[in-house]
Amino acid sequence: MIPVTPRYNAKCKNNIRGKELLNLRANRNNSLKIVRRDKYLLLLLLPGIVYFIIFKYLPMGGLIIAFKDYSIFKGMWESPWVGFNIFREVFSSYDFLHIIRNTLLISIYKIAFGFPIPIIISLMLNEIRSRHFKRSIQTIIYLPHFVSWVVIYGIMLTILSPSYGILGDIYQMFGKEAPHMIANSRYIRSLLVITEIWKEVGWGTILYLASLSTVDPNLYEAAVIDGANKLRQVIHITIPSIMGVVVLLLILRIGSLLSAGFEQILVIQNDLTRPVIDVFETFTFRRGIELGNYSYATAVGLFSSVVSMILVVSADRLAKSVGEEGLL
Amino acid sequence: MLKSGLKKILLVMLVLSMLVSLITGCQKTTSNGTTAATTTTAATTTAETTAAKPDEISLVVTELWPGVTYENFNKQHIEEKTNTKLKVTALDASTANQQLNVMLAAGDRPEIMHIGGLESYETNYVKDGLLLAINKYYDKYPNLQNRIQKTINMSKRDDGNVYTINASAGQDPWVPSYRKDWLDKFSLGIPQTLDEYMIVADTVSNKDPDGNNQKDTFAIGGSKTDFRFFNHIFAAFGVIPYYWYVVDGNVVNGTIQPGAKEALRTLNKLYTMKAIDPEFVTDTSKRVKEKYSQGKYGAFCYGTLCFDTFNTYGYYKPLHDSNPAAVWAYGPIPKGTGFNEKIGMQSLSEKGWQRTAICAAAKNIDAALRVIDWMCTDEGQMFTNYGLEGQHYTMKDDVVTITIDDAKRQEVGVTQLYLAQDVLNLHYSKEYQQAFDFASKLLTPMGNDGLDVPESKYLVELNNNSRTQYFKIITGEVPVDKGFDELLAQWKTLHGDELAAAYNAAYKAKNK
Repeated sequence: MIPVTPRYNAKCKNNIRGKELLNLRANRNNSLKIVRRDKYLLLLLLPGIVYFIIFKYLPMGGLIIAFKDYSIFKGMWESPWVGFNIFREVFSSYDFLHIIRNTLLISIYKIAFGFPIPIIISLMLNEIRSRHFKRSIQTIIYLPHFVSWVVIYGIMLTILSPSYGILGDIYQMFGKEAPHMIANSRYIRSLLVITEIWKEVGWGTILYLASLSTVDPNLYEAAVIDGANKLRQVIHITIPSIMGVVVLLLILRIGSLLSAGFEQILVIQNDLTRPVIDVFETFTFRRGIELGNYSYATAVGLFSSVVSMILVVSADRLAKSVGEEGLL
Repeated sequence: MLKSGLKKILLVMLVLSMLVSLITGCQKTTSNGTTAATTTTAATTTAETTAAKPDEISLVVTELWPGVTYENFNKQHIEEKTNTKLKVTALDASTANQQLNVMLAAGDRPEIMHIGGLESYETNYVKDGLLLAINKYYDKYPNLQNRIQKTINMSKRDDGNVYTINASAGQDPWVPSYRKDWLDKFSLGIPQTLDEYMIVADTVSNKDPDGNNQKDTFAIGGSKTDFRFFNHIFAAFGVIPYYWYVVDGNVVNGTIQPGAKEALRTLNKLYTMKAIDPEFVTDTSKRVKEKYSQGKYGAFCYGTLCFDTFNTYGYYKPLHDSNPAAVWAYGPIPKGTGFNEKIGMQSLSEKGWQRTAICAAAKNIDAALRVIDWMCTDEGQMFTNYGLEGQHYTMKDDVVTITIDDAKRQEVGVTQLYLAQDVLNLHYSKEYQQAFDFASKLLTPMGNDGLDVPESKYLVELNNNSRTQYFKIITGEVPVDKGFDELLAQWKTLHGDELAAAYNAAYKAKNK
């Protein structure tokens, strides 16, 4: 090993390879300094990293069963290879395109109608002067987030049932018959979007309100001096201050376009509404998990993940091209 | 200096505790939520019947009552009788098969396990060499042999072996049932033909039979998961939907027969005239039972438990408490065009909707066979059905009177461990027995019972799709003719014809 002496260093400075070595050494020394300085922080990070390695990265090896005729008794290695046959079976399934259409439609409805509402509510809450009132409203609106979809379905039946629900009673007062909305394919997608908004809007305001709390009050004072009214202050100060968070969340939401709400749809769907709300996840659950066809379920999951990754990267690139910070 | 040192120690301890909790969370757990290292075993309190140490066997069963423990008198008594120690793992009914697959894949080899009634499950396990051929032990366990012999044609596989036994054998016949007091009010009799039935349906739905000036009664209710409520209409046309049965030596599925189209036309007509509860698409069986108890239905197909004046399973009393004048009567299948006396109602699989099997690689096979053999004896059957005479029931003139209430039954665990149960009817009233005997004559045996073909993987999707299409036709979302044509086209696309051909070939091979 060559001893690192001042004479050696001086020699290295005079050639390119030497300069590279010096840089590397300098970088390594810097990295070691950082590790030594922050060793306890890194130690604190260790369980999280171990968790991700064990439960998120190592299981990715199991994706090979999407290319095998997997038998749980033979195991991953002994099951025979079938190449892309499983994918061919998935894509040639008679209702595959139908499922894709349902998934995209429901996701797009949820983004189009559900995404702006937490932003609007946050802006409104931000203007409330009474702290006590603001906190109370916040608590009330984010409580539904903790209610399970099974309970929400029970509430829906209590309200919308034609024979024993509130809606049925109202229709009967006018001498008419209430439609059975939960079993009607014309109403069910709207019901999905409305219930999802009701459940998640409060939770969605949390991040935006946190972001709004960091806005410098001097900007508002300066705006008042310049003659800006409330609306102009919101447009020129408040909205731009949360735009980074909005773009970030939108990218993530677009990335999960193929996740249209498994638990919600599994609970709410019935035989009459299944044709219009059967989505990727319920399709996978029914064909793959319930029938023990794990290769099928993995192939669909892999396809969904690849599409999601493409969507996230594309959305990120688009965000950067219009001047936003993006995610990646 | 000391503070900084203390901080470092605390930080290291925090990191270590997080790592330890992460590792602990990775430990294998049983389905009851206890870690494998601390699984509790049954506390046997009675003296051993023999000097030999009890054989420890593990059972993986489908949970009968969610959340109710198996550590009870029922388990202890079986252990005493068979000199065993039972370690029971109960799986949730809705995911039992998936959970069992995961356990087997992880290397677990329980002595006794419940497997689902789909033939493909048994076939897969047999193919992987997991199941014990029970017939090879007949000479040592004659009670087991006697029980299997009753359904030997269904139970024996192509290789001549028997791998499973019916965990709970018995029928649950449904029968066209009517509110007799409503019929008497309007001077109508029990309908014998479909035309008469339509008049009855209209009357009990639209003529305010309960006299409360509200349109709150229907002829027929239904549940989203059970289509049997409509079976009498299909049977009127000589078909049984979602069911494979034999006609002139051929296995057919009633879903796509021409008679089914006419039945759907009739159901659509009934729906339009508001004789069918529109909530049948979303109601559960439990909800239907509640509505039945409130007196909402007057002319539909329902189980014979409604006639049990002893109120077993809580059908009779709730109806009569809320409607003291209610009289429930049964009748024949109303005859329509194409009615066939041999085609009536669905029957349960004789091979078993749930089966008991023994793992070939389990440690204590003899002990497992001993337990099941004991349960096949008369003593075992009476115990499984009713508990102990004198303690949980009394018997006089072949009639059983259960002396404990439902809560006590659950506490004791009567019927909880059903491994080879013949469901007995000794505790029901004579009214129930009469209805049961009548309804049993309407049953049509399953045509695909015990038949396994590779194409049966299409069965679930075929049924789901057919049900969706049926519901659309009944509610008028699609016209009857167009909807039925679409159904036939979907049947072909979903390999229904291939499945039918495969069943027929297997049936003919088995019955030549």
